[in-house]
Amino acid sequence: MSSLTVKTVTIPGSGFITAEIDLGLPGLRKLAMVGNWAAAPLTFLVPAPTGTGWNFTYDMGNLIVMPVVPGAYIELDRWLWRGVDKLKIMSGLPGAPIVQPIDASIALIGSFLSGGPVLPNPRRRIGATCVGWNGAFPTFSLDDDDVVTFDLKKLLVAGETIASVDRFDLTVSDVAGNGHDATPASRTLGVAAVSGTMVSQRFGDWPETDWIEYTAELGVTTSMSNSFVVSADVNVRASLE
Amino acid sequence: MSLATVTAHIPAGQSASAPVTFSGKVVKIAVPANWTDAPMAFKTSEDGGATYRPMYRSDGNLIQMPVQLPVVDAVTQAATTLLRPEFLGELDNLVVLSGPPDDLVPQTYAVDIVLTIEP
Repeated sequence: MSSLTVKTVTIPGSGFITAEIDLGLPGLRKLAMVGNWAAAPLTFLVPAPTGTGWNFTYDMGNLIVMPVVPGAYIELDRWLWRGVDKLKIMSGLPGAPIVQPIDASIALIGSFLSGGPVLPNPRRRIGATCVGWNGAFPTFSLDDDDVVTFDLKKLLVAGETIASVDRFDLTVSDVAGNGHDATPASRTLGVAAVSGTMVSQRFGDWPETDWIEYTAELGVTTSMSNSFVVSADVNVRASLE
Repeated sequence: MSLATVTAHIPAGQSASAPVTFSGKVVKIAVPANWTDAPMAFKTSEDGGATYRPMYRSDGNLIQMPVQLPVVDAVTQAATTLLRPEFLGELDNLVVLSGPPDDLVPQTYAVDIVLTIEP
């Protein structure tokens, strides 16, 4: 069920920084130095919160600097890039960029689980219970940094609007807010519960899950109950728009 | 959740296993009793196996695991299993190296390293 997604970016020759990278990955977890690399550490920039310009990234007050061995496959800190969806990668340090003489490519690798099952009888138009997987969903064992991704867009397929769409922000708000419950109307019955209405019935508490994003491609007859994708080892920004 | 195992085989006299493919995280590594003294290092591929690259931590250090010898305890006969190498994240494939890439250590005997995979 797991899979890896790869996106390759390039620092152009005579340059020292990538263009804006829309990660588009479930979670940046690894880098691979797939091309030429003139000796230089990597630094990383993210959009400034003001919406203008870019900021270098720090971890607990320390600039994030990554030494690079050409040709290396680099496992990243699983927490570090949580919440980062746009990125620039720079060769060198702030104030001291190092020009790459020729194009230097870097593969960005994300990892995730995918492939939630499609229920034979989607349970649509039943409000929050659309989230109820009712035993049809296999019980995944997830780590504390795992994330479940829903597909809200697909709730609008074929001109239909699932009744719960306008409540979905409420449905997931507690999860998105780092709460332990997923749905306002849910019952906390524990992981063994059948016919549950809340994600935490399947996955237990979600203290580390602080975002929900709607992505994924699903069929026409989707509903909330069959349109989710479970993602693991994924750290992407909170996204409820 | 069910765990799976894959076996990485290093032939006698060689220092790298044939690539093993799987999908998930390595959660246990069982070291064979006839392991020649060497740390374990790893390679993986982001391009479906065309190129295998040595694996590093983000601090620039090679990912390698020391292996305590003897691998099998003389008294209890307990073998050695390396648990939860957390620095190995989700992977599609892996090559197990005997020794770091720049200082490989040929294995005296053919060895099978059993990797337990959590999907």
